Amino acid sequence: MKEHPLLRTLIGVGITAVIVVFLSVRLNAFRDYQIAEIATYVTAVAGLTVLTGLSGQISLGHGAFMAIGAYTTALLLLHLGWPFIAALLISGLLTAATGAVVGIAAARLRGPYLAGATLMLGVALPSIAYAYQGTFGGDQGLNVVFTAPGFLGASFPLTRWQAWIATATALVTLTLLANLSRGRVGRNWRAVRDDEVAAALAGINVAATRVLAFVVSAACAGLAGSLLAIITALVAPGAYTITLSITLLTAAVIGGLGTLPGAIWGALVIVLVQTYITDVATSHGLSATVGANIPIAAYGLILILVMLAFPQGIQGAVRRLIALFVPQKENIPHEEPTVRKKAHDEVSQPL
Amino acid sequence: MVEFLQFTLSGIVFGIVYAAIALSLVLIWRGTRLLNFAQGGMAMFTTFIALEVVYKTGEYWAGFVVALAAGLLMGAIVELVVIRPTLNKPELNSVIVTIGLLIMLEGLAGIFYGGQFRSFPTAFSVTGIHLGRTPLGVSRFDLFVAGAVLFATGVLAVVFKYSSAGLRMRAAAFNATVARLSGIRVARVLTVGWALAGLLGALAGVLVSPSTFLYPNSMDSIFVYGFTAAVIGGLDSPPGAVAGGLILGVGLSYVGGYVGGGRGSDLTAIVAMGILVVVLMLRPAGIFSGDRLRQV
Amino acid sequence: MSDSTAGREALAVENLTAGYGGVTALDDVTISAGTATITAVLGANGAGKTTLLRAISGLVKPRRGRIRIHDTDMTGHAPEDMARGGVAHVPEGQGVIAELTVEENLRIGMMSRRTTSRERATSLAEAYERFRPLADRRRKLAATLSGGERQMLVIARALLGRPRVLLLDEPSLGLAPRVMAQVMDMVVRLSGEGGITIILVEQNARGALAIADTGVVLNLGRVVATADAKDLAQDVALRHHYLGF
Repeated sequence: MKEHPLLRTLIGVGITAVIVVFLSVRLNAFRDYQIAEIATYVTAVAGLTVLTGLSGQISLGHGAFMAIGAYTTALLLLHLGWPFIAALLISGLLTAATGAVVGIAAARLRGPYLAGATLMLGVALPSIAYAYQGTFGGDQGLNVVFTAPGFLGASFPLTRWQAWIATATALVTLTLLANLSRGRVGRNWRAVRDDEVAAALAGINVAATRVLAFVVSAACAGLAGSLLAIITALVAPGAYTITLSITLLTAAVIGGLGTLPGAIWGALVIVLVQTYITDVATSHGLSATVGANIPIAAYGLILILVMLAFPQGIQGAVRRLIALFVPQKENIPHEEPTVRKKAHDEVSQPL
Repeated sequence: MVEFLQFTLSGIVFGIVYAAIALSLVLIWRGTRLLNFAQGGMAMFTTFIALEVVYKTGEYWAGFVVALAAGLLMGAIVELVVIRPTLNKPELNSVIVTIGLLIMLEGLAGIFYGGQFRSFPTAFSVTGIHLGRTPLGVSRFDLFVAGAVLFATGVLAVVFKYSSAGLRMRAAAFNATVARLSGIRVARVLTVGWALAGLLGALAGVLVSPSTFLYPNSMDSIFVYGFTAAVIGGLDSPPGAVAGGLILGVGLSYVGGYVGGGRGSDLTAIVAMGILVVVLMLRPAGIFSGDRLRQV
Repeated sequence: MSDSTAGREALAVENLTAGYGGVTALDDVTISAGTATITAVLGANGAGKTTLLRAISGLVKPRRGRIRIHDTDMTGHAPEDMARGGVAHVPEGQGVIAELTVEENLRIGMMSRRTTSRERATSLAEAYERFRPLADRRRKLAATLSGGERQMLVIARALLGRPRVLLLDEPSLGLAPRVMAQVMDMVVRLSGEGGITIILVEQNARGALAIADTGVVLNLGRVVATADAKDLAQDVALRHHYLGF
């Protein structure tokens, strides 16, 4: 079994799909919506965790890529009436192309410079919606009309269909990423992250490797944006601020940076905690604004605490737990989220 | 021609605010080689505190002073509690930690003060002043903004260059090992550096909030412009930060004013992003740095 | 310097074990230096000489062992505290802050003790008196100094802290032979007139042993020989094996 990682992944995917279908039938529409939301986040966070954790490039602007995917889908559905699957794929491709552009521009950027540049992307891009209100609908955004296909029958709940599509997208994405991560591409990513000079000396095209990571992760974000468009039925700039970008990063970090299961943990935490806190807040009579902001403040605090105390996130804890029960075989290198050390002499002494 | 003058002058005023943020970033960068992503968020929060004080006391200057004091205090506390533990860890950790701080502050502001756009008072009139009959496009308050930042910058420059505290900070920034071996308490120096940066950020916050309105995300774009200004000037260079701020402020002002269809003002963020990318690709060490090679 | 302190241990390193990450660079090292003596620490590259100085000055935290300065236990103290406690460390190859002026570098040297501004002025004047070339270039950036002048600046700065123990790591590295000799002369005078205890790490073993009182030879982090400098210099087998001459 251990020699066929692809088979293991597919089996895992299959089991998850069955579980989701089962849950989606048994649970109510709101839960179906949550499943769709979680799957959407998983898609986006998986791409981000690969970019930041595996290839070592931080991005604070992935909300912008989601916005591109969302608006593309909204426009295609609105103006061309294409079937969703086509819109989904086109959104992914377009965002991937944008990712290539961003990746090339950022190829020589490291650390805080890269973070600042991507933050700029996240802040600046939504303003296009305001600048070209005719096309993008400005502050109000665009409405997205989406219905379930006919063959399902008239009584099939839309939310369940959305949950299925979102989950399918997420599972396909995870499978593809797992494959990439296990293969030469993944090894190149990790090599470049750990020691660029050594990687270059070993014959790896560092720039191409880094750009590819951006392309892949942007595509994931674009697909997620597309899903978000149909789930929320609205695409407006207010949903794609840097708060979204940072929420994605929070999910990746909490779950375990650089690990695909971490993307799942992170997405679960983000969506479920958000709902839970909002419920608690409103039941205690706090306003909706407060209820919406408590999770945000919490994410910030969690990010700080996780980084200071548990940098490996949930997946790190899970793995350590498993290691207690299962005898240690060799390390599976592609699960280790290490990050480059600072080269600066200046404040490297213990204070 | 009159328009050009107006755009230039108002661009300078905004540019000076970007320069203040840029300076606070440079201050921290020189001391710790970190970029404080929470700088804008901290400034927003201290401005909210100032607003509360103004409401309670009815006095603008009370709020002003409290904001600066809060900025000083917040900078020191953040360094001690949040930043210090990350100093020997990988670089990514401190980026994420300051990002965490940023959204924590934005969330807290949303909880305590709500999300609506608040207007922030000014101490001076905001009506445009005229030279003879020509409207200059700037007001008395704008002049105050420029004056306040320049004054603060001047004081800091003098302190750095001529006082022994300033010498300690420069020594610690240039070569922390030698500084420590000479008995300089580098850790304390770092805290002071962050406190001063917090002060500068708080100043920028109260000065710019009348124009941008105050809400949890209001300093996001100011921060990002300040970062761009710092990159233009070179993250190591305080005069570069000021120059970068002015260049960016004036440049964006022209874009906002001259690009047609009324789109100009919405596109300033995109243009700023373009400027940032161009500078980072062509001259990552900044326009004003010497031949010092910086790893970008 | 009262006679009762002469000959007492200024520096005692006991069973020191220290290293970086997974590497142990010093293993159970014991060294003692009497007041106002010169101890030469010798050995091949990688023997642990630099690590020893860094452990004494606090840049490296010892894993095991003790460090005493004039009988006060200062094991594990931070570099700032060691400096304030009278230990001056002049690291190899650096020690001058190139972006600051000569005078600013000197002023930094005085930051390890409490001084009034008059005391500072007097101390500076003395330093300029003793090191004339520095006086001529006091407002110039340290980056513009030659190798020998930088070494002078570094030692001048260290002395302004009025240290009791001075750790010198390869002070003659990269210097012309004549300048090297001047540096060595200065080291002798510092211990003789100034009563400073000097620990001298040198690649130039012959030159170091010529001026030192005691010699300590390190190899792979361990002490392989401790003896009077004269005796070490005459031990041909030892010299050949560990010191290359």
